[in-house]
Amino acid sequence: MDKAIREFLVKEIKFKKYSLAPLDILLLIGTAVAGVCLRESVIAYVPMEDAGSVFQQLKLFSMIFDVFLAVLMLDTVTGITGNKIKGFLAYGVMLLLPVLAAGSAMWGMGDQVYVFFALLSITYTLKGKGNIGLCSLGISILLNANGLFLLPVFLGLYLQKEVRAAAFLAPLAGLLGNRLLVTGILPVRLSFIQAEALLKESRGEALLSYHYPNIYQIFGMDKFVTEYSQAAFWFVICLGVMIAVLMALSKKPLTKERLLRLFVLSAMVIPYFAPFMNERSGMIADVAAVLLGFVMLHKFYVPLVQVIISYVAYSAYFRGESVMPMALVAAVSLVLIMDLIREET
Amino acid sequence: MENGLFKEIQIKNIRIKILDILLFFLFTVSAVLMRYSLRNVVAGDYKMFFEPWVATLREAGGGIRGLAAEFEYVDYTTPYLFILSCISICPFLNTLLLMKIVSIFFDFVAAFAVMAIVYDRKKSMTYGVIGYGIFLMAPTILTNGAMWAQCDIIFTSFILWSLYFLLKDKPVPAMAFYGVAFAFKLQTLFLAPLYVILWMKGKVKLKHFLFLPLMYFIGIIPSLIAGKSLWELISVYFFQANGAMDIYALSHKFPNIYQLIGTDTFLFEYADAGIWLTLGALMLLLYTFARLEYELDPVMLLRMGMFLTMTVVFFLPHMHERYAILVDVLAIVYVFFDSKGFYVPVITLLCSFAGYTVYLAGTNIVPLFIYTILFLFLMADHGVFLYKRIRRGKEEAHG
Repeated sequence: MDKAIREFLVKEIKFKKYSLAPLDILLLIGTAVAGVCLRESVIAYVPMEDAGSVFQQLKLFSMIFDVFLAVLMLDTVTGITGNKIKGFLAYGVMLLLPVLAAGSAMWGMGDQVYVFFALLSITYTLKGKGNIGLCSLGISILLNANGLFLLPVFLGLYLQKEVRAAAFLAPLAGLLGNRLLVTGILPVRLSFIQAEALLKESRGEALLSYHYPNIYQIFGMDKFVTEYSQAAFWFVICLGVMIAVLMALSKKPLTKERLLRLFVLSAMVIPYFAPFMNERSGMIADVAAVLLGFVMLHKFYVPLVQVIISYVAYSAYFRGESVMPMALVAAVSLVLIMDLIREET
Repeated sequence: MENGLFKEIQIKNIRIKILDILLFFLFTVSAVLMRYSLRNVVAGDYKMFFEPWVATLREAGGGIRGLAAEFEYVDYTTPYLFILSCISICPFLNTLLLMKIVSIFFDFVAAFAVMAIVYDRKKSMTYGVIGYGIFLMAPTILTNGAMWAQCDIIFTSFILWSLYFLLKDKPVPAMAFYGVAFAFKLQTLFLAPLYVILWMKGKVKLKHFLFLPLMYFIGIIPSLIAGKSLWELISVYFFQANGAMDIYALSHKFPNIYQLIGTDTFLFEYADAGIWLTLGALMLLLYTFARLEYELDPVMLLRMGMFLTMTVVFFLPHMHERYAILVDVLAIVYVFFDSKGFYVPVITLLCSFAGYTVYLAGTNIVPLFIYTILFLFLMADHGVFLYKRIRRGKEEAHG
């Protein structure tokens, strides 16, 4: 009987063009249930008093996008690797990813929406549809300027004639729209932009980094805020262009793996130097790193370390201070960035 | 003289050298003396819990009669309470010493299991005796019973015997010992995912899992005789799993994920979330190990056992300093199966003993998050090792 049960669990059953084993179905359902319960455990947390129902609505909305992100990850990993077991595992990992669960159910800032479009942009680009990828990135940037973290790779692709110049109108329009929404010139009140404004208001003093483990955690966050932020703005622009040019100059073939690695690198390196980054600024890097971990299994440590780094930053916000010295966390992040750069040299 | 040391004696199928006997005596005497030097240490747990429990058992008459005692709070099952109840009426020595002697006895029971496992692997009694010696000298094993008067070694020793029989492909005694371990302590279940994988790989049968409720039931018979209700006896583990006594910190000086994000905030939220995260992580690992095709050899079995147990204690809330003891003993055994993996027991014991030091000495020289990073590194190492072995097996199968 034992043998019969074991064979049944791994026996593939065909549904049209898909085939699934009962064990696969068990995993899909099991991780979904665990993901829901995980979120349910922390949903009662109120990130900001007197914020009305903004965060509660956003929590629900973000959680729906958590599922979209997991399904998109399943599809992307299966598509790239041709291995559905990896796809199912990636789906499970996404549902249980602490940064996503806390980002949606605890904090409720709606980041999942722009991250979804950023991941979609990566997926399309990896499939060789960079122009559509740029359109998706435009939507991501419209919702949150953090989408710009991926732009250097698209610039590099443009220099390699992989995407058209006209497609850059999408991120440009996205950025313009985002500025109009954030500054309130456009009379549209998106709740996550409202939530971001509330959060900004509650911060008080302007800092170069709000618990985000980047260069400012090593050299100081509260000195020369105006001077450093202006300098850093231009520094980051130059850095982005440099990534694009070096990418174009490199003689290495532009494989899916390399392209993905560049996306992760860009999503990590830009916020590492950009001013005013907050605890959640690593979310694109987190999700892209999970994808990298499943596509290039030997780089499994990248998502592992990146997600821990990100969650330490979250935790610093939730607790008011970090358990680990943020300078140490920032140093670890730098080592991870250098490891990714090393593979490009 | 040299020839004399290497002279072999045959006892049934086992060949023993004079050197082995000398080493055995050296290790045994040293182990006893090491434990003797720790005899007077009184840990907080003893004062707060064990001493009042033993007093309550004594008041109720001790022995089987003592088991009828009503406790304000107790999270031990009948078998250990029965031992305590017998200690309560023992006319020799004091309670603390008797408790330590019981634990030390099981240190040796466990050490003999290690010796048997290593002997079977190496076919050399010298290695077997060295395994026995290393086990008895391991800091966490030494201090758990002899210094702290804890009894984790009891269930651990039964698990080691279970492992011995598993490695000999004898599932019935293996599961029987696992059942006995379960009758003593809930923490036995930390290793349960490995047994599920063993079932998936055809090493044990479903019916063998019945040993768990069977041994638990046999274990509670003395309390039933003493007049306790069945529900009360069964619900001990539900109460423990609930973690009602441990809610004041997400980790009790154990180097796990909560040392990175804080052990003292979101006590309820993270406690529930941590349980779901553990279940989710186990689902992913069990799915991977069950779905892929590979030959489960002893080296993989040990690595998998450590990896799964570490995953559980890394994510579960309310873990105590001593809860990686299963990983400690598996790591000690492991080094005799893969000498290149010598760093595994070193790092494991270092991380594990860090928590002990914080509790027993009250000092925290290296922050616990550093040990958490080491612990995480070791988990990653187990994952990489298993992945490589599975992939190598796959490549060999496909020529």
